[in-house]
Amino acid sequence: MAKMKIYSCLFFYIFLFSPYVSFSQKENNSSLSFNHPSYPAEAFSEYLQDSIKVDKQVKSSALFILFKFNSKSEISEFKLSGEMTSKITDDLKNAILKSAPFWITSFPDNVYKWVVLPVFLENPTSTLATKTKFDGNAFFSKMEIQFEWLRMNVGSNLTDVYFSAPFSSKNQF
Amino acid sequence: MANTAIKVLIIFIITSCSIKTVAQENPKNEFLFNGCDKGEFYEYFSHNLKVWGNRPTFNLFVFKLTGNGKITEMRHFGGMEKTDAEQVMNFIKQSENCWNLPSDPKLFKWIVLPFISGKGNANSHIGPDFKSTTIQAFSALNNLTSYGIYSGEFYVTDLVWYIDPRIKLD
Repeated sequence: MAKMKIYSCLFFYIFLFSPYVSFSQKENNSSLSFNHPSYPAEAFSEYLQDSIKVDKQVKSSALFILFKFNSKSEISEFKLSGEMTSKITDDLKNAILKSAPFWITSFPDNVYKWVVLPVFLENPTSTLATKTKFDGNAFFSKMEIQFEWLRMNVGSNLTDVYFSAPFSSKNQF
Repeated sequence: MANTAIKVLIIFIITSCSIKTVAQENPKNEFLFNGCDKGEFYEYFSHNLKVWGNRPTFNLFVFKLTGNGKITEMRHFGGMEKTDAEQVMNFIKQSENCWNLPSDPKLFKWIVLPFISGKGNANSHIGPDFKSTTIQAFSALNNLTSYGIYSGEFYVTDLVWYIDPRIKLD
């Protein structure tokens, strides 16, 4: 009888505590994903490219856009690592805000994630001989500056970020 | 017999308590680079790796770090030539002992290492251009979802950056 009681206690203990151990491991896998019914999984940049028309006169630039998600899919911050015209900045910001319902979050209330959107814009007329040519060296140096900016804003060891595919000037007026 | 059962129960309680405590330890340091006596991540590379490639390139090296310290499933995206990229990947492989590991060896993490290597002129028309290969590298990173590897689960290391002093920066 005593033996049965001890075994009951043992099984009770196993059932009581094993979920805690499993939960602690699951907790590390907090995730964020973009899931729009009209696009394949994680096609956030395609969604943006279909939402925005880029002016042909846009200034060539390479930068990161950073925005923050909480567990309720609310966007709380919007930062740019470089300069863009106000129109393309506003258009991108509006499209990003409208994307909020299509993000799926699975992390605790007090946790958030940063989304990093690389943006590459090029003025197609700039390749003409009479215009300023695309400067590969300047573009090259910009990438280092962008990563330094990212590090200053989000810190080292970017474990809470979602790296989106890049937005580039696909659709132009 | 009852004494044996009690001993088993006590051992189980002690063991499971210690497992639970380890699992609740701050997970922030798990899978992070621990320096290997070289401090910052990029210092470890800049002190040991001398790969320039033959043109300025942006690259992303992606690999799986398992809970038992093994680096597997390495991939390269970006403009660096295959032979140079293989040298970098061999060096990444050599860093296996330089990462903080979790208590559970079954856990793993996908690591992304951004790597800019610069030699020569980025405006040169020899080889693929810097901009298109950079865009392709970021796109390829996101396309890993088709392999069940999701962007939100990455640990992105600091940038490793080499630059030839002959390249004039603004």
